[in-house]
Amino acid sequence: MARYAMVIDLDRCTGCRACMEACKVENNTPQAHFWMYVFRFEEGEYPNTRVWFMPRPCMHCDNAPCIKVCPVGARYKRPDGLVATDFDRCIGCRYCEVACPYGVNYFNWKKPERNHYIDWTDREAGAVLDPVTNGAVPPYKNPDLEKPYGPERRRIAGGGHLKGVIEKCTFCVHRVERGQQPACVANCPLYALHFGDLDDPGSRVSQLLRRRPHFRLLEEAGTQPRVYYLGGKPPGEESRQIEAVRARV
Amino acid sequence: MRAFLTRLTVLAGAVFAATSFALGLRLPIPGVPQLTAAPTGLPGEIPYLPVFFILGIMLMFLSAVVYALVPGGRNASPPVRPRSR
Amino acid sequence: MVTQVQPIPYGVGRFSAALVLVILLLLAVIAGGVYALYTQLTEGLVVTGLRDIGTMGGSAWGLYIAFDVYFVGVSFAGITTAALVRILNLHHLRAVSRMAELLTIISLILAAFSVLPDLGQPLRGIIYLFKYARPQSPFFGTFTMVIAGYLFASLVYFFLDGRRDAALCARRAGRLQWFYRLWASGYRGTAEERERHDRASFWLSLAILPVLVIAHSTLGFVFGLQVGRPGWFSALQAPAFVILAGVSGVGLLIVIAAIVRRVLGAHDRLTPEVFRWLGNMLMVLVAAYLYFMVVDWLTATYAAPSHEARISRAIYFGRYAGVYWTSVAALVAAFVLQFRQFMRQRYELSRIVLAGVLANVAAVGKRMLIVVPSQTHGALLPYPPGTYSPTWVEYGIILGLFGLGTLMYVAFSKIFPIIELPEEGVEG
Repeated sequence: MARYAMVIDLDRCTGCRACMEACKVENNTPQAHFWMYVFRFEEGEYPNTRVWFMPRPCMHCDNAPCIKVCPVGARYKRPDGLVATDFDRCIGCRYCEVACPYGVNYFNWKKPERNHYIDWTDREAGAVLDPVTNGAVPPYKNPDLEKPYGPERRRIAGGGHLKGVIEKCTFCVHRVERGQQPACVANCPLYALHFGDLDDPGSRVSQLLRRRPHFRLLEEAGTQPRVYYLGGKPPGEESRQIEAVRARV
Repeated sequence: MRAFLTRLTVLAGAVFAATSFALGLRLPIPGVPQLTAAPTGLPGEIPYLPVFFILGIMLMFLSAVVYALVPGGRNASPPVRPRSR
Repeated sequence: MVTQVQPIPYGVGRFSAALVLVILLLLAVIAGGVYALYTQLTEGLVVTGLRDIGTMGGSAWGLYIAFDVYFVGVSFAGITTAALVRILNLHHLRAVSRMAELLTIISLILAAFSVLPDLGQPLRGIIYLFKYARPQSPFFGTFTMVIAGYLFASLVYFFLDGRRDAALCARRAGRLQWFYRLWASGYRGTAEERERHDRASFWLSLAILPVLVIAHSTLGFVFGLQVGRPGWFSALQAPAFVILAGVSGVGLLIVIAAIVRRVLGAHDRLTPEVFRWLGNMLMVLVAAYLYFMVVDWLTATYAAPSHEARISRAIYFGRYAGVYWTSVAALVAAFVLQFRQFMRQRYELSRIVLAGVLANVAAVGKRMLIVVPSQTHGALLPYPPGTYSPTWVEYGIILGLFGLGTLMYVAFSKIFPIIELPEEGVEG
């Protein structure tokens, strides 16, 4: 069985946020949901300021507090390491959201069909978008997002399915199951994001972790995250967000 | 005969209550080791476990009602009379 | 045996014009709550002031959870008073025993109703909690122990305790005679039966006490075990919850007992000694909780990690300072009020009731302070601080719940004596 992890190279990240866009498009997440989020930090005082960027997906922790607290077992850990949310079972109590130290959970406060960037139900949307997408299956029509996955047959992929449930980064489980990379990794123009199997010593992520010093966020919380950061340093008291995203629904 | 039946009822009630309570406690035990281990919600999921747990505790408390309600049989006294002034 | 046609005392079956007005008002409040709930069910929780933690700068848990904790807390005092009457033979408190038990039962129902609107999928929630609830989650403990242990045990206790009065009420013909007979379940008042009853109630009271400590502690664990939420992650949460539960519960019981005394004219049963006892209980519990708050404050200001210090700053000096210091002032005032009466051994009912009201104001404020600041200001990653302002939907539903609870209380007192009937019975 694979042991998936993500490695993020902070020395390469320029904060372009292509990964945020790719995640949003791939998973059809509603407005103000940022499964992948990129912090843009500034440190120091002028003229000695430093600007750096930190992508933050879900950490898919080995000792995830969100899994421990889910009252109905909708949030669970797959054998390959992905922490998944079964949107057929989620009762929307938001306990996982308050338990997560990283703030990666997003709740469907609104009916998702009212919360997308375009009204997908608009018949004319298809006419406008089809030439643009060139016949590719747009995310709001991607049947992979509705299918069950894993031997447990649970529906865990994609966002914006129904109101009143929690969702978060899935490491693009519907792509990983086909042998593809998560959308953020595949779309990073600078190869700052890597994804692979830690149990495979020849994989990119294993090689990177062997060669370069790395850290994980909030190690002291004991969550055992599966996202490793190369180069750079963890954000601290001195890190201020350049423009704080506070997109509210 | 009646005294025997009532005593049997009480005993049966107590046994039933105790068994259900024990069952209610027994069922989560497989889940207990997972309390401290790395959590995965998948294996060892027992549907309706909370129902058994709740029923077990309820039955335990119900035994108090059984005890109080079942007539004594032995010292049957006349019912409450109005106090004469 | 002669059946007297004397009415059952304590207002059973009697409706005054003022009472009808109160009932109509309560129904209006409940209707408002239902409308708010309907709005929320159709539009989603977006109509509340709740929002995601982190990038959305909100608080995911708010008024609903705070009042759920409050209602569970209030229920503590009810059954504890009743249990202590049994275990410690505090005969002078018997008059409030039934009021206390009823308070427990109703506030537990309200607690359950307070959580349901908080769920994004309430219908699923009801079914799946019974089907899939996991023992590893602190929710499991609160859910099962509160329903099975707490609520059900209180109902059983209530049922047993009321059988005698039900038997007395069943003696007169009336529309509810079937109800009284059912409740009495063949109670005959024999010496042996009374002995069985007392023994059953004693052991029941003894068994309920650990159950309710567990229920309140698991509720504290819901917050106290979250390593990801500074300000919550503390071993103090569980015991602090138990103590604050006592404070709010005893306080509310005092208020209810005073209202019952005034409305039903039950000055002979609800004597000043009863209120003196309750007032002293309140004083001790408030003192204990103030101790918790002082310990908390000292720890936070002496050497708190940066994330907890941020929350403490927001609570003591920042956004939440108004709520915090009001709650502290209310608690201190309640304590001082009671302490002065205690030292002078001169008790006044109005002062004791005021202390009870202040204690509850402080409890509500403190519940909000437990729930919200750790979410808006307690991010371990450098998200900006958030805001939370409840909307009319949340206020409407909470007020509706209070209205529902009051209505249930009033309705019960109209069909069953709210105070234990005196020894001589109806003919007394």
